[in-house]
Amino acid sequence: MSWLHTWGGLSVGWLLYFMFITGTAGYFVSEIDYWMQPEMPHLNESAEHGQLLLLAEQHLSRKAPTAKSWRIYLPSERERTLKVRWQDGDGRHKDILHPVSGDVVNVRDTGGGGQLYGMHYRLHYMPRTVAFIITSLCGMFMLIALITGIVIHKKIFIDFFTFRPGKKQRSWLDMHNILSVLPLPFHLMITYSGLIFLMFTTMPAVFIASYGVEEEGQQRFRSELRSTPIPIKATGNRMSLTSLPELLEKAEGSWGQGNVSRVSIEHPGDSQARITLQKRRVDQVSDEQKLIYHGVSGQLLSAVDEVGTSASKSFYALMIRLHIGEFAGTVLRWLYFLSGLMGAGMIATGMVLWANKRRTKADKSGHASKGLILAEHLNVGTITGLPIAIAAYFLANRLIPLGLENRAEWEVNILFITWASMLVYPAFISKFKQVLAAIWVQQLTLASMLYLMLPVINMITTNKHLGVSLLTADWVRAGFDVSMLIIGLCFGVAAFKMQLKKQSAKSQGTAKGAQQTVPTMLAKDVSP
Amino acid sequence: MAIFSRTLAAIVGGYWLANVMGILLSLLLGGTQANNVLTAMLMSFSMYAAVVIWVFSAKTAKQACMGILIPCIVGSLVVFVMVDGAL
Amino acid sequence: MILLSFALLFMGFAGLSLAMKRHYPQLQPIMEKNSQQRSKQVIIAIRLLAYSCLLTGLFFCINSQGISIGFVFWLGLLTLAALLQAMLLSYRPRWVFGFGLMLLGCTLFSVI
Repeated sequence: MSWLHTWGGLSVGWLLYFMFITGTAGYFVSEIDYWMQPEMPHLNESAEHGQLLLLAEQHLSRKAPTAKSWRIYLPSERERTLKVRWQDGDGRHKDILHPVSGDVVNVRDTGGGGQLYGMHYRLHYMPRTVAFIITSLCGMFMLIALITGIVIHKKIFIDFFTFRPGKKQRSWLDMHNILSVLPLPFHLMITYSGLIFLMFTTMPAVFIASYGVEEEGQQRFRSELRSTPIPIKATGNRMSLTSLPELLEKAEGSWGQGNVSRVSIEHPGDSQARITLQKRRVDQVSDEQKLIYHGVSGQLLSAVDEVGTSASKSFYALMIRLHIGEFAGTVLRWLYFLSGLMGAGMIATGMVLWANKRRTKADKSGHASKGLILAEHLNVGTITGLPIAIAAYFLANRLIPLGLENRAEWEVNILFITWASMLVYPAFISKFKQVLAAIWVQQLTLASMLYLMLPVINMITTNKHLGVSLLTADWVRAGFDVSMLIIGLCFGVAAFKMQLKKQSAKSQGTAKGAQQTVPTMLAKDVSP
Repeated sequence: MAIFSRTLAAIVGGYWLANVMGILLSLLLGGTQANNVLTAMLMSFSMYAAVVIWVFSAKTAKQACMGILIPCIVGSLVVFVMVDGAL
Repeated sequence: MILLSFALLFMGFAGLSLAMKRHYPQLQPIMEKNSQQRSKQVIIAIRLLAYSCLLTGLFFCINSQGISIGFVFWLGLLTLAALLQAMLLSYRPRWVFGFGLMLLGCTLFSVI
């Protein structure tokens, strides 16, 4: 069991850490999006939703009259703008509209927070299906690690609050236990729901056995699952759409004002157009309601209500909603964020613990295996390297010239190039007789500097910096900058403490050979 | 060698067995087809996890491998018969 | 409501750690009873009180946010409260009860 926990965790630990960090960032995806698009207007109110629908429709009819589908996202508490998307022969497109004037807001080409969070399950530089399989496999390893971890942790209740600092491996183990056990409901939920999320790609055999491999069977499965009618094909006859604000009024009649989050139009301008209104999901964990209207006549075709359909559907919907935490208000969202960071810390402390144990043995025997050195380098390169790469991603958002082609793609490239550099750095710098502890200090310091620099660069490159955002009560942007400062400070404190410990260990004359064990310190300071 | 065979049995065999059990479950449950399939898929991960843990708790590697291989073969045959009959 | 729940959860965890052999000595300097030997009944009583604090916290979460969100909220607050408890016990055990009282005070203040 213990073997399974250790090796299961270690083999995919670095990738899991990546998934946890990017996933945790995802709880603030709207906020990150907003900061990474400083051109977005800061408004406290928007026009009335009926009006917005008209503005969106006008824009879409001008820009994409022959599209296969339109989507209009109405503003919400967290997303204060009007967004439109459409899909045509060229693929998917989107625009952001000013919620009062309806003009297109020219935002810089960036993937934003959505891109960062998407990497959490889509990875990058590979087809979706491959990424889904890899992440699900990691998720499976994670599930096994959690279960085996619970099984081998015999004193799970006695050790509940136990943390003994200053005791080398014992402290790392204590912290690993705390970060694992205290958010255990979260960890179990997030892992299992994560697996469920991608199960249509990863466990196809089960539904193929019942529905066959053909597209027709697959569509039948999908529509039976979602209780929605099978999509209709376009006829090619042009007819104008019914009045959208009228449908909005009808929907708001039963759902309440402002509770329509999205309007989707299949085959706009066709005689068989379909308009789907979706209810905003803020007050319930399991609730998805849609109203589907005929696009030309405005007649209600069906009302979809996932609540109370079946136990398995409810469970599925519940798991998905819990995973994303869409329903969460500010406080709960921060709690989710905390739990996610604790999860990342759990993985980080686990890997450092493993490396430390092996290092102690290696110091005694005088021989360190290549595997150990690789693990140590991967540890520092990922645990500090990934946060450094994310800071680089944010910096790139401010520094890459606006007109550059494929700008959004380059922001992501910079993230991975930075991470790769941080992974290679330990091997490179070891040639100059740098001790592992020194490498940790160097990378922690770099992380600290980059995060502290972010609000400064923001000030230099835009007019939406802390000075302005605090004055105009643009709390999201201000909050982002302040959070970056706090993260930078945490890394700085960690680097400083590590430097002190390193110096005290040196002065005690305990150095054996060229490498030293990573000194004990608060694991909380190491992981962000 | 023992660890390699157990790992293979756990990852590959476990996946196979989880799917076999899932298919059987979806065909044997009462209720609508879509719901059965959904329930089976939702549970498949627990079954996969249980199989993996069993493989590594078994007394010998040989027991573990046989314990996976035999149900896989038998289960697959049953599934083959049932699915062919249903379609 | 949420603050009250959090205060209760924190006190609940403080109670639980008080009932534990490892943590009682850490909190002991504040307690008036100096004896290491506590009767089993006292420990059970403390445990019961602590668990009821935790459950009451759940009640207030549900009261404020509805059943499903309330339950999720409760789990999240449990994590935070337990984390604070663990950290305080390791670094500033004397602050545990003071912190708890402060939380209760803040709650009363916000109600007024």
